[in-house]
Amino acid sequence: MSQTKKINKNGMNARRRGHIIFYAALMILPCIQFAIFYFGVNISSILRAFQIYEINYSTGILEKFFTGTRGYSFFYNFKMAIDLFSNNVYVLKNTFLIYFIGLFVSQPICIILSYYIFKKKPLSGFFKVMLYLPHVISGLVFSLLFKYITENVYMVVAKDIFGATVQGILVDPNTRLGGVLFFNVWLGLSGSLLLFSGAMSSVDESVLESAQLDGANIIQEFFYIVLPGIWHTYKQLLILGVAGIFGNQMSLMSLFGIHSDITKEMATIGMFFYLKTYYAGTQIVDGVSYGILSAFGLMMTAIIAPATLLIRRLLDKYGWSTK
Amino acid sequence: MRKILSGLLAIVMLFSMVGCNLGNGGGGGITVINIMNTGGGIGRKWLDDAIVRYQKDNPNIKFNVEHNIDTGVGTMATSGYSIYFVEQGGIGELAASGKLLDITDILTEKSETRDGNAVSIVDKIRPEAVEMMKGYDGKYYAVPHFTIFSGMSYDYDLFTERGYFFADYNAEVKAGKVTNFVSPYGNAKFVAPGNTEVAKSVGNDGIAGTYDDGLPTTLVELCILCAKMYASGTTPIEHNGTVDHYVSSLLKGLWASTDAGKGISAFFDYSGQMEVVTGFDNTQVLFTGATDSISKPITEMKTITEETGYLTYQAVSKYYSVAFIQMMLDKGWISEDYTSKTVTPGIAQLKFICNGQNEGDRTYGMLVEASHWYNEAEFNGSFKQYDLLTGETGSGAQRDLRWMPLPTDLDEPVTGPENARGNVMTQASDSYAFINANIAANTNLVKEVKKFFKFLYSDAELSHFTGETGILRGHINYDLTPEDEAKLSSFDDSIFQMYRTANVSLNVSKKQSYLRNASTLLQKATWPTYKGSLYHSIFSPFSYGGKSPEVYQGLTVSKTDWESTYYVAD
Repeated sequence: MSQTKKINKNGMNARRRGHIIFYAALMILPCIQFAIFYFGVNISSILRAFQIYEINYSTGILEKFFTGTRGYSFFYNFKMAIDLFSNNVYVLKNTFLIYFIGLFVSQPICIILSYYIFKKKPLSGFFKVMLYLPHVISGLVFSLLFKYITENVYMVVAKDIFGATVQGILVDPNTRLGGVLFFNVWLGLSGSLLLFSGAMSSVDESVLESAQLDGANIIQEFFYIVLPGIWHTYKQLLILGVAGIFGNQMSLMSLFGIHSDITKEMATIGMFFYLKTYYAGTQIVDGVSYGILSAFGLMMTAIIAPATLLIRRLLDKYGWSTK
Repeated sequence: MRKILSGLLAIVMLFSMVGCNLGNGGGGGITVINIMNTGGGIGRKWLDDAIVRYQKDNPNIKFNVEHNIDTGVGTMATSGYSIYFVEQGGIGELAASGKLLDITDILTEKSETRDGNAVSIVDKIRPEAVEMMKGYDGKYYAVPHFTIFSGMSYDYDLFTERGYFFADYNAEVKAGKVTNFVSPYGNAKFVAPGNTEVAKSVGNDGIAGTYDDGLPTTLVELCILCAKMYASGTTPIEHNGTVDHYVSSLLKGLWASTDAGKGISAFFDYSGQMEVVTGFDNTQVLFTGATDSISKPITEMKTITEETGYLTYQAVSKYYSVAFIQMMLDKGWISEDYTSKTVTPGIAQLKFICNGQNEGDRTYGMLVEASHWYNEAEFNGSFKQYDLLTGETGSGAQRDLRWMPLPTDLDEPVTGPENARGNVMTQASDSYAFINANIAANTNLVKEVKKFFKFLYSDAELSHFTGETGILRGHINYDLTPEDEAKLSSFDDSIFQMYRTANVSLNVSKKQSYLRNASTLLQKATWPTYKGSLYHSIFSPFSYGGKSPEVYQGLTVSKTDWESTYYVAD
């Protein structure tokens, strides 16, 4: 039996039309969501950086108007954001501390451990589980576990075994920062572990075998074959690390809670921004308006976006090539 | 196969549409009302029971109740919840931003009768609280929800067992009856451990045989009590570690009480005379035995007006409160749990309830928490855990824990009716109920929601609320039925007894300076600024080496700030 193709005036047959309709129906919801929750939210944020909210006590209504009117300068929110930041410049310290710990401690450890697991050395299975655990169990549960270990267990062990009366690691101001950094390093290992392990698995086995036959030892293999082989993945993580530098909250909320003074004292820019946003628009005494926070966010973007592009360019230019 | 898979994927995508609408409004003769109820202290059973009663006469109304600590008021404009019960204030701001429905009609409608007179919901509200319910346009947008108090609770059983009640001042020291305790702060006579026959001191009300007998009437006596507890192996004060700003409960409680309520009263109504700290004499300490750095304040009596409202931050009673907190920290009268990252409020409550039942466990004399902690502990099953420890069902419910009347002077004790000062209670956090303005277009839903709202604030339901939760609605005048009063625990009863006769200070004002800045002004009174940083907990500046005079200064507002930021001239 011959089949007749029905071709419409656009040269499209019914089957193809059906495919397009189905595809469009499938994609329409995610596209709408993207339009609203990405473009819409960001455009709203940009606009808000130029808006002020004030209550008109005569009418009892909250009025919204643009900066540059009613006696406010055009960059009023930006000026207030700069004032806000300059009064809280301490947040830079932990922002960069956690970044560099991640860069020079977490990631190298992760690469080494990934390689160890990749080479299937003794206890590699155990390390795989322990390091991946924070990713598997709930963050809240994991942070609770960590708090109990570093306080209750630690104090009992110190007393019963060493006869020392100590405070919990997160309680003692002398050990608190170290405890928080250790927690973050442990937490950071799990995500990167998966990526590096996957990248290492894609290194050509024949190249490794060839190197072994040529007498390369495990260290040489690592530096001359594996590391260049996973460079593309590592490069992406380095770029993402720079892009996310102002978003890292150092797990302070899960360890200390949002209302704790410790969260505020140890805050990174990301945590500081989150706290201010949480309180924004309320009558909380150190709250600020959404307009100021939007301006703050825009300024952070203006700094980090070019920095990220620059880092990417430098890594592309000076990094390993697998060619 | 591909078609089947594609079809399944498409169906899965449809599930995401579920989040679009909570089904508010219902259909087919059924109206669905979605309610957001604040999690924590008062629980949800009161609301669940009220709904059951309401549905008897309104079977076509269905309810969805979400019980959450974070009530999401900030995003309520786009939420599906029609009614909100929240633990916060700021009604003026919420109304101004268009989030709240105008409920003037239901609040002013005379729909009930009391003593033969028709009354509205507003008629039941204390006059001083009415302005807090309004927006800046003068319309009503909210109703007060629950009232919890700042201060401490104490273990009556432990006090009796270990002899922590003050004896009558005229009692003679006698073995087995009255003991004498010598402390750096002064000497005091206590009822001997286990003795329930010896007369206790009269308490703040100056009357023997009432709920406040045997409790300290001065800050110095409170220090003596703490010292006695400490010396006898009891940890005087328990406080959780994960929410360390709960100490504000003690800070505000003592601020309100230690000048018999004058300072806290002036804070809200900007009137009267008040003893104000104008400086410190660093050559003298506040009282004998106090830490050296707790300097004696120099004070003056000042007349308070709205224009000089900044003076209300300089109440001498607030300094006494700060000083006691420093003493508590310096002398180790507070459990080290206050620094712990694992001792939650629930765990602290459990420890206080169980109070040494497990061998080797500490015992605690007092617990710092707002007064709704008892209901929360019941909800968490803490009293049932006590039953497990003792092996006796119902023993937890028998625990005699009570709300503690706090001292009403620095060092002059109440010895009888002639110098009685009465007790003081001060509200902790604000709490209101309101209707979401985003339902305004749905006339049927608005009608049903308002009807249910009116029902919840009827006299019968007001009584049921307190009977069920043990918590008062202090802004509202109402009576408890005998059935509901019988449901009160000994703890709730201790609050109720005190409430009937105490000077009760609510977070309410009729003054515009307060109305426009309510939350901020209250926070500035209990959130200290120290070395340029604002802290939520008064523990923080002390942990950085701050001393009472400078920590206290961090709780004040300057004249310049007041005039430029907060003061609203008539």
